[in-house]
Amino acid sequence: MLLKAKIKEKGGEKTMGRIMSELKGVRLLLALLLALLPMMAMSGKALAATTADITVNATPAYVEISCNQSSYDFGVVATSSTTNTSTAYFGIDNNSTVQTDQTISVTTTTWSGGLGWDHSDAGTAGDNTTAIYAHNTDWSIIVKNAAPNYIAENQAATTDYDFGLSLQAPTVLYDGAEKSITVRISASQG
Amino acid sequence: MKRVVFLFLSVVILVLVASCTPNYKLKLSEQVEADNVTPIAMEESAKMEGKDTVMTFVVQNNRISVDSVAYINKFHRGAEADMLYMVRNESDVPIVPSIYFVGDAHIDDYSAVEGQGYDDVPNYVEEWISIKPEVAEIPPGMAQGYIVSLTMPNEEFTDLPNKFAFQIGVGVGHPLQLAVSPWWMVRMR
Repeated sequence: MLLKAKIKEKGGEKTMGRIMSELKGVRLLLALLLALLPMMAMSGKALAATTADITVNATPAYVEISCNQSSYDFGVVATSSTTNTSTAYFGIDNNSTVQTDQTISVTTTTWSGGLGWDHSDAGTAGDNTTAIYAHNTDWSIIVKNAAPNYIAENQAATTDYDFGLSLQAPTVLYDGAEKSITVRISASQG
Repeated sequence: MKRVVFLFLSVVILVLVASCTPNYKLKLSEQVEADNVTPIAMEESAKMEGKDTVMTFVVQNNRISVDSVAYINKFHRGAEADMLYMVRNESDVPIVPSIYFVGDAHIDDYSAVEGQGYDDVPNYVEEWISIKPEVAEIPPGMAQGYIVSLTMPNEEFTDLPNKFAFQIGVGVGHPLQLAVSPWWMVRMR
């Protein structure tokens, strides 16, 4: 009766039956809320455990290089000899639309063929060990395991360059089998 | 009152649906069976290119190009970020690309991001990289997609910078190999 009186005081025309109906609604609402709570908690947990908020994007930056040569044959080399290409034997056509850093390296620590030569990161030939240098503006060591040296650093967009190679033959040779190694020119946005 | 309950329920359901709907893409690596991948026609690869998780490498005779840089934001432990490396062989001969991690490139040398706080990557991050499927020959006129994934173990690495960068390159050719090595710029959550 008190409740009815209070409602009447607010100017409502509600009956006791309607109030009971509203109370039922409130109870229903509370029950639903209680039922939904675990679901809401679980959904938050699932999100936290997934990669949901990682963003992965590939944004435009065009880098392109080509070369006018695909190989060079140093021919037969004598022990402790140094054989050079011309310093502009390899021409890199740089069609990148952005500034690039371009490195030169070998992709393995040994040469293939027969008893493979070891490659020297220190740039020093030795017993069955060889070294290679590259020339753009200066001669620099070509390495495998250390951070590669730049053959062209801060190369301006669409600007070409040339380079040459120099081979220091081992001080001791063990066979006459042809040797081969891969020299990699790699361009990245710089 | 029923209207209020109905409205309340609608809002709750909407919120739940919104929060449960994955706003992330299905991990690319889950879509690839490593042993069951063959090169695809250029037209097929073209349908996949141009998306924000695809980087396209075009190989021609003595020529290679890439079209983008990868940005990964809000990375965290236990997370995986995938990028599709689409390699198109537009040369006259079959190719076997090399896909390799470059951890010793110096981000300070990348002048476009100078001052943005990126550090060089710690060596152990190389172990977080996986490539699927294994590289194999791509015939002329065909393309092959490779899923390159960066997966951080679910543990803490106290020396991991908040922002770090490395390169994952693609190279083709022997004995002179031409390669392009796009940066991966990673920002932790």
